[in-house]
Amino acid sequence: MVTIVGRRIVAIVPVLLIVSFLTFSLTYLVPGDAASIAAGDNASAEQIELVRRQLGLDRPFLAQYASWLWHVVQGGLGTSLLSSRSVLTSLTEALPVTLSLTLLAMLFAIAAGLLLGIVAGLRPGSALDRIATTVASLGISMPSFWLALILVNVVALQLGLAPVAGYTSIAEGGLTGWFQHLLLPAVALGTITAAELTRQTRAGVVDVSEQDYIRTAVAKGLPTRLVVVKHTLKNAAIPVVTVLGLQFGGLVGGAIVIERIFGLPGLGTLAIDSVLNQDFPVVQGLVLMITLFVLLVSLLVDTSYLYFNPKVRQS
Amino acid sequence: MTVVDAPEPASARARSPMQVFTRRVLRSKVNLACLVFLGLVVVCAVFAPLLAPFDPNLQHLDSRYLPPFSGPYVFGTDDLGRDVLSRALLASRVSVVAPLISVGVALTLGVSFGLAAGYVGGWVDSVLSRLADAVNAIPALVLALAVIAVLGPGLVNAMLAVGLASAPRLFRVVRGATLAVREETYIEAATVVGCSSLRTVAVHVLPNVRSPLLVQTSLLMSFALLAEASLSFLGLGIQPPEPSWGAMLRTAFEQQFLGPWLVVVPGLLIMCTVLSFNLLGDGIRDAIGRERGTR
Repeated sequence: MVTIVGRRIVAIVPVLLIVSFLTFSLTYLVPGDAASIAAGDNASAEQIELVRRQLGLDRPFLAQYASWLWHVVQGGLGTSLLSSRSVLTSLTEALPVTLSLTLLAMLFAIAAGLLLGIVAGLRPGSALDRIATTVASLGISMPSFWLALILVNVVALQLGLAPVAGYTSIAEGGLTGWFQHLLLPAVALGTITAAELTRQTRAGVVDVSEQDYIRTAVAKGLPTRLVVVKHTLKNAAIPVVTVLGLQFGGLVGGAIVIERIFGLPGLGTLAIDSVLNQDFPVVQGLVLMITLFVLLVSLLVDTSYLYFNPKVRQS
Repeated sequence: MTVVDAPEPASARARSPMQVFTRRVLRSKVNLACLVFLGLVVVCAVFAPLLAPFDPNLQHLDSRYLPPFSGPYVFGTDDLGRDVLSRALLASRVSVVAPLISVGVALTLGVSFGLAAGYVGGWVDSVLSRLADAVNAIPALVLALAVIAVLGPGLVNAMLAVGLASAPRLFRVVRGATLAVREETYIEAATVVGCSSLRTVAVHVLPNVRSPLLVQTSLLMSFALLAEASLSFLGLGIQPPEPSWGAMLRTAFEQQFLGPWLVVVPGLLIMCTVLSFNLLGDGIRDAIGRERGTR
């Protein structure tokens, strides 16, 4: 089991290397000159040359990549061209916001998706099933930021049940304040994933319910609750977990737009600001950090197969 | 996609696989409804200037923030007094063209590299697969943002980036399907007869990849449309004053206190179009499934 996980971790390394190379190459495709951007608007030609040498931009491409990668591995992502702050500091400040948002969205998706999926899957063809399937189809096709706009409009502006925008950390506003500010964004962000999970769970439950071992479990007199939880759900879980892992990247992408609507100071807001201002060290740091998280989540998903599917453990 | 060019015999039994496939897809009422809706969107896009009651960019500053069904403005007016219906009609052009750019890029990259990786195998396959894994690990919207940081905001740049980000998905489908048929006898026969690799791939491998590719293309259209809407909403896609459904939602977001109804029409249009592409993708997949089952 340790070797399987170990092999997975080793397999991540080349992927991260390619991603880092692609991210580093980004700056070389820019029409503008990084040195003159960093030197400021009124810099003379000598000043620009000085900055170029200071930043090491006059060295060959691969040498620059190697030293850049060496710094990145040690946690040095450089400084922002715009604010002159350390990129790592900006990222670690924004990360808790985005993590809170995606985590809550994921929890909402799992709760809603599993519930709807199980209800629909246990009685395929029933009215409840048809309602759940329709809701899921609509949910998948709904832009998350449109749902966010509607929620802000109805729940926050008309009913006044939640704050319109803003973020308070647990340290500032306590658990309730944190939760109140993130509830609407998390529901808006998590709906697509919830809908996808509903479909997968339903399909999995319908599929597993027809298997012989379920009939055996029912025939030997196990209570329905036990059959559903221990036999049906555990076996239906593998495709569901897979989808959850695949959806994580989409959740992070969606979070960028959602953060903008609710004024959350997370990675998304940082990304839009740095993209509009061509602040490449920050863009590079963001791509690397987000990719690392996506890869870690997929590692987690692969590891969870070991629990759900004993066959994987042996192979 | 190729259209069957040989004239079919009149007898009802001898149907080409393409005709059988089309018939299966059209048998479902859901698929038919989706095709009709998407057809309507295309018609609106092509004839937008003729259908629109007003100039979409003309500002009626004396009639701003009119709610729906006010006089001649069926869907109301926005913050500059522009007719929402006319703008929504013109915006359907973006919704047709923008996803096509992404899908075109993704198909070109995904199919060519996928066929190469699957057919040639060896180190070509390893290198291309690792590259696809790497691009796939970066969330599509994040990759799009990075490319826009380099190339600058704009609809074409945004859609090129989305296409690049979606290519690995098609790559995997094509590579998998190619691997599955590579060892078939008829491929070997084609090689023995003296077909060049290029001809073998184009004439004998590609048709086997067509069906799964069609499903993915339909799903990709809906993904690209959502991505266009998101990027235009953020102000990184289409630039004002040109309308797209995403850009109209941006206006609605900025004016949510004064014109809360502005959010309804563009959002519904996005949802229905995306829903049609999704359902159509599922429908084609089911039709292929049945095709396989009857053989």
